[in-house]
Amino acid sequence: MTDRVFDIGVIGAGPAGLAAATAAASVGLSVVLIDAGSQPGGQYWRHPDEQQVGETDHAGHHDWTTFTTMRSALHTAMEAGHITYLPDTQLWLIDPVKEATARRTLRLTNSYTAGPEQHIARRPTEVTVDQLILCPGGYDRQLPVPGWDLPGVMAAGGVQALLKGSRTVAGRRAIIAGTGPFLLPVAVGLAEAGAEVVSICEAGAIRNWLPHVAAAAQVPSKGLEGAQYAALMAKHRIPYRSRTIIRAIHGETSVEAVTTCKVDSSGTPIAGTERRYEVDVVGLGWGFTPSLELPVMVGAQTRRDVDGSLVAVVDDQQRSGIPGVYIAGEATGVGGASMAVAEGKLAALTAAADSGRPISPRDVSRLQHKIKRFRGFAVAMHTAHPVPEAWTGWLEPETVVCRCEEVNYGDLCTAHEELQADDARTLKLVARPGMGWCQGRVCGYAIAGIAASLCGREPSEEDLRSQGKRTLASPVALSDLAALNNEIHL
Amino acid sequence: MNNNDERLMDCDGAPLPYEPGQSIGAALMNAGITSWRTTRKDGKPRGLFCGIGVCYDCLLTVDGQVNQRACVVPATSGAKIETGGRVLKDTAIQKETDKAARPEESHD
Ligand SMILES: Cc1cc2nc3c(=O)[nH]c(=O)nc-3n(C[C@H](O)[C@H](O)[C@H](O)COP(=O)(O)OP(=O)(O)OC[C@H]3O[C@@H](n4cnc5c(N)ncnc54)[C@H](O)[C@@H]3O)c2cc1C
Ligand code: FES
Repeated sequence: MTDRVFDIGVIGAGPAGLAAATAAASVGLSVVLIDAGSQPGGQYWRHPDEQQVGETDHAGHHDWTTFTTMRSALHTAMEAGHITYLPDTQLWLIDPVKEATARRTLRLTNSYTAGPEQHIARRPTEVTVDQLILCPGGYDRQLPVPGWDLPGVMAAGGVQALLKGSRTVAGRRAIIAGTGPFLLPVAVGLAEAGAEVVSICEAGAIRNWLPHVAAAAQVPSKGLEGAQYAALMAKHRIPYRSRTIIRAIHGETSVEAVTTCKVDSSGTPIAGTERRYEVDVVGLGWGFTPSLELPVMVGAQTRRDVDGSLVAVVDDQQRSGIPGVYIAGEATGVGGASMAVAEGKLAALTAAADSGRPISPRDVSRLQHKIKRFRGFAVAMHTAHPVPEAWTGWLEPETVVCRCEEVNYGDLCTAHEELQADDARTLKLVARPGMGWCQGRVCGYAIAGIAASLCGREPSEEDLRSQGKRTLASPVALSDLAALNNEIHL
Repeated sequence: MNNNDERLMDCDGAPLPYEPGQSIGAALMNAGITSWRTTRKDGKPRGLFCGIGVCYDCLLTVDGQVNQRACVVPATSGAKIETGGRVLKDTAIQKETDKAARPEESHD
């Protein structure tokens, strides 16, 4: 237990958090940087454990020098005592502000308790901060499909994480499905690592892009990235099928095959277009969705973004509306790593200004301008790759929706019809989806969509928020809870 | 570390090799092991799903510590992994992995 007090606590050492922590330190603030991961980089710059493999080559990593520059700044600031970096550390509770000091105490625990010594060393169980920058990132957004709980079916980002973090290929014959530009690097990554990718199934239509080209042209590097992936797809002969979904996944104890089909513009399957592929790995991804338990825990406002996900509301300087709390990166709306970096820097500058440090207004407006451009691109991307409105029509009564509590679609329909569950919150109370280990992180978006479709309406912010609220940000040991000493009431 | 013998863990009593930098989940996948847990209600097999510590599908016991996420715990020499005997192996993949791991045997 330490009683260290810091000017700023930054949560997450991904693109947003690294940028925030290093920018805050550079204007003279003392920073504690807390991250559940073992080394800085977050999802985007995930790389093999350097304590095990040393510096690795980073072909396939875009903007790697942006990362190494920030990492050097992190190390310099750590040596100078400006940043205290706590890797392998999970923030599980943010106490309410203490009136006397206007500070917050952050409750911490080890991310995991087995494995190499250096990763499971005891860390402080609490730190206290004046200001808080939340950069918790997100995870793959999922839509359930018959058979998606078979081993061998993975989140597309998980397939990528396995490749980038562990240099491990998830299987030998793969199919990648869902929507969005992220399906391309996943498929190409697998092919470059020696797997056969039988197809990318994109639910959207390619021509969806055309109306948004102007926004895309504002970010030329994205166009270049796209061209590189197109060339690699041609090289590896990866077929790209638009308006195509995985209708069902087959297998006994692991994936053996999938059935795909064409869909119309609403996402309704077109009869007679089914195709079967034998595969041993399936990567599913419907874009990303932010990790919102920390913003919700501190009482930040949320809204439904253009892509339909719940995101945190911030002003044009990353203020959350809760005094002393700033939010940056995917949590404010999914927009990619470059936008996360710009938002992280801006959050740090704003926090510094709000605590009376001089900052350059020019830096602020430059960052705001950048963010606006990236946001425009993100909106274009989301609009071109929507979750098909008719997706709940793909579900069978026995399709598992909540993987943890094993709640299937039929259970949810019954809860609606017989017990009048008309919104996601009531569905959760009655049928218990989202009440297991993952606390609705995997199924929350789907539950909100199912609740809405059962009632014949659009999902609401409240449907989503009821799935995103978590009393604790992660499961913790009873001993951690006991250590709270009845200080606060959950 | 260049000694292969040091890069071994123990999974339910059987040796499980790993590459430096792999998570335990990655080492299991590499060995053709796609699931190591069964669900409480329906007894369905589970392995890696999200790959980043979010879904808790990949839980197992490591060095006596229960409920560890295989996708986040780094593999380490001598780690003792317990799945309660629920490992399901895809034997076809296993043969391929064995071949890949011992190229000298495929020269004949
Ligand atoms: C699995 C996955 C793979 C991806 N791969 C790519 C890719 O290859 N290319 C690409 O362009 N984009 C990829 N993305 C999208 C990418 O995540 C974002 O563009 C970018 O990383 C966002 O940066 P961020 O800083 O907002 O969040 P992240 O990079 O997600 O960083 C957030 C960090 O916060 C930590 N954290 C969250 N909550 C807590 C807590 N309570 N306590 C402690 N730490 C916490 C997380 O562990 C994480 O390290 C991927 C996303 C996912 C989910
Ligand atoms: S695979 Fe999801 S937590 Fe490990």
